[in-house]
Amino acid sequence: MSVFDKLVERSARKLAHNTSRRSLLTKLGMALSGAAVVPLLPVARAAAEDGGYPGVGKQSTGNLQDPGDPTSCDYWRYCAIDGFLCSCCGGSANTCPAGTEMSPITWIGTCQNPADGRAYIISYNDCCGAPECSRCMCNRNEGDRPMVRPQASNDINWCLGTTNISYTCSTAVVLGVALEE
Amino acid sequence: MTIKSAKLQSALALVMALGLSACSESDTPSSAEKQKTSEVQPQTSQELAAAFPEPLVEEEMGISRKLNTPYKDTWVVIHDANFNSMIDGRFIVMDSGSISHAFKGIMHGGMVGALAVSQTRGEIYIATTYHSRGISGERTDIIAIHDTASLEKTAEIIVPAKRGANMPFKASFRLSNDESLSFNYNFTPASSISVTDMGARKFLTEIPIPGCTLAYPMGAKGFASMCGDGTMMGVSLDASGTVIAETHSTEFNDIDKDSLFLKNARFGDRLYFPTFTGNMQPIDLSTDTPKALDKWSLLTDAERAENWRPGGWQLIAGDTGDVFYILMHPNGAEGTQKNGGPEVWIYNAAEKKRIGKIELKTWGLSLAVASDRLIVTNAEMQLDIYDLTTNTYAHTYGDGLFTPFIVYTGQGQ
Repeated sequence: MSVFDKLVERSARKLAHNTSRRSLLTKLGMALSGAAVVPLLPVARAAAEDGGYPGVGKQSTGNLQDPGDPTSCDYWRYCAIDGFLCSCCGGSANTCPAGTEMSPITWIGTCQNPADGRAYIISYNDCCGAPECSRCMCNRNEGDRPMVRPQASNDINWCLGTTNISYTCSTAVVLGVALEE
Repeated sequence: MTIKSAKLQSALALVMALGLSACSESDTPSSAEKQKTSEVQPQTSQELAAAFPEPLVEEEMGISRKLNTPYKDTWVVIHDANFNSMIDGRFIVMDSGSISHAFKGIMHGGMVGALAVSQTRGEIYIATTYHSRGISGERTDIIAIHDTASLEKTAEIIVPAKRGANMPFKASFRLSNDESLSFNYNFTPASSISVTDMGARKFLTEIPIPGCTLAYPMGAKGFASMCGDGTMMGVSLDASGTVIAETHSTEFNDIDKDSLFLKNARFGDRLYFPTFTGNMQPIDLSTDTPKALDKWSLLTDAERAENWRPGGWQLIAGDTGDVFYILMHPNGAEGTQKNGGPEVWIYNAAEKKRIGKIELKTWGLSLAVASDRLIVTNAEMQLDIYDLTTNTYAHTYGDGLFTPFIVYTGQGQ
């Protein structure tokens, strides 16, 4: 049984995500998430390992319970992200840049927060509709699976259900705490 | 002709000669040319002309080359999906057998397209997606048809605008084994296959493949898809695209513990899919029901203890016999399955036996095999070419590439 199936989501914010399409997908087990297309690049990962990307200014959430630099590939929420970090592109870890719209469906990962020790369900919604941001390419694949399990696959461009399929960057939105059933 | 125009003509001829000499078919300057170059000292125009009594001949304008077909077996088609501007992907015909004159031609790839080649019709097909205003406007999904000799786009077939927008996969667009139909993988996120009659150039029908993904050609006109329940689905069709049989294999893919990659090496009706932890799962597609054959290990116990694992994007490629090549990395773990690797291991599929290893010059991410050449997409996004007669590095094909994650053979495999 999938680790995702064993997890239940506990979040007061859950209702806020209930577009009809999303709830239908949730029922189908096609969990939501997003992150696109640009893969691998150990180079990109390596670039991020010293704390950030060349020419990209560091950021902080200002919240001790949400530690790390959202412009670094090592930021805790990015454990299964694949794409350009919206934090480097005029958005943030949970918002899209101006001129883009957030994909309503996407894929999810489960990442541990080093500050409070909890495992969180992270939704990797893509931001769509503008050109590729091309900054802060980050690819991490913990829990990633091939497209036979789309809800756990970062090989998919989730800019579907949006006005057009152009991918700009990836967010990592906290959906709630993940608990073993 | 006035003196002025004669001079202009000469200047033009010189420019053209310089340009054309750069694309002449000789690989290196001849020794005579080298000698002449080294002997030339600053002299008057008259003295220079004396060495060459006849001027260069006037040349014809407006020539575009055509490629020789069928392509040589070292020719490949690079898919550069251009991830920094995905609407502007490209397919490049390249000869992996030579560093000189390796670039043969280029075709537009739209947004993360996929390619197939018909041997019988001499056509290249590119399934792709466009919006009417670049990244915005009305979406149209097409199968572009290019002539293999001129590379010109000669026609297009409009298909449902549902193509899966995902990383490039060969199995997202395939011809049937008899080349009469094509299969386009759709993801909306409902998954289906669009079936197109490639002879009549006409979209026929859409076949739902709930919970399954991609299309691996099976039988004359059918396909198999990999499914989320751990099985493989088989769909057999007639010429009109009507389903004759729909089957499922038994469950063989443990997606949680040891997932199959969706890439494979194919030998006839046998498809070889590696798994995340280093096993090999052959699938037999010789009947209308996909059948999982015995899984076997790519690793010795010692290698397993060192966590050697397969990894990369197009991490496996087969030759035309029974030999496959696979990218391997040590210290593998959950999440390293797309990292690529420093070595390529070579196996005889029929004998289930490793027959060689290549330590790569530069870390590899994807593989292709064309005749006696191994083409490795390296971590710097250039293509390293290895000579498979000696299993050694031959040369690097570089410059002008952005993200060439997939390389097809000249036959579209």
